[in-house]
Amino acid sequence: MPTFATIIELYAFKEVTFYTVKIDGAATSLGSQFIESNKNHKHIQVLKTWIQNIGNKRGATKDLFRNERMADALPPPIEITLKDCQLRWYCLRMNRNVVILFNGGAKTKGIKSAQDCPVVGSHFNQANILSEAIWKAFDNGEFGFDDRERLTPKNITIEF
Amino acid sequence: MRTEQENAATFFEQPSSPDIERFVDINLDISEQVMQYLDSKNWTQKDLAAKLDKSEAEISKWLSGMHNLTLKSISKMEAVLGEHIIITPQVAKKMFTKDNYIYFTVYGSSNEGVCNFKTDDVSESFESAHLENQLVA
Repeated sequence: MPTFATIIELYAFKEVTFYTVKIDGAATSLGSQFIESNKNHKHIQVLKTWIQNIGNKRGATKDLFRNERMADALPPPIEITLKDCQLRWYCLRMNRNVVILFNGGAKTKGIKSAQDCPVVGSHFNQANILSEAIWKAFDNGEFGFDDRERLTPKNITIEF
Repeated sequence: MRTEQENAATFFEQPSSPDIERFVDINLDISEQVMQYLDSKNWTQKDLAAKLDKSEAEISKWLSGMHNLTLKSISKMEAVLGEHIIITPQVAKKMFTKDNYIYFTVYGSSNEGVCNFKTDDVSESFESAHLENQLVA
């Protein structure tokens, strides 16, 4: 049975507009769920600062996004205090100016693959399913980019 | 009730501490510099990983913009790339300062001395043309 979701704008920086996905029936979008669940995580500040930097200054250059199968992982593991932090926010980089945020979390230490992790495994799989659906909708001409490199139309519905 | 966008704005607009901002900025500067060197050499991250005897995943982590790179790791990359990745302002000044020279062509007539100009005129011209050492960007 098909499920529907809406791509909505979450926050526009100078160089990058971040969108997210709200699945039909859910109270909040995936991006908001990640923020709410991880806002007090000890490494969230670095993640947020990284987003601010690429959002305001550098753009979403391809090299900075680590490829996790179809979806991109944002970011790779953070190592600030000599302890591994596996906080991962899954996303889809569409181009230098458009990133779609999904959900994520802190990957369990010691588990090599995101798919096998009880914390992020479901988010990882969902991100990949949604990414495939989004690219399919884009290829079918169901949405595109306007002259300011933002998604058009607003509130795009996709089926997955 | 606040919208999702308002909540997201609160999150994304909250400034970080200066040390975290510098950490991320320097990290991303290093990543961009290394990527530029790889491009110029037609190397991939995989090539760089092989030369450093590291896995591709580790190099990807190094260049993510959030990895706490050690001086040792940066030195290893510099050695393999044969390029500077980071230099201090003092070293940059020494490396990139250059003197500017003004060359004069001196004409002389066969009927007169080779140098048919007053030495005062030359001194004046030289002084007005002389440039102090400048740091070249």
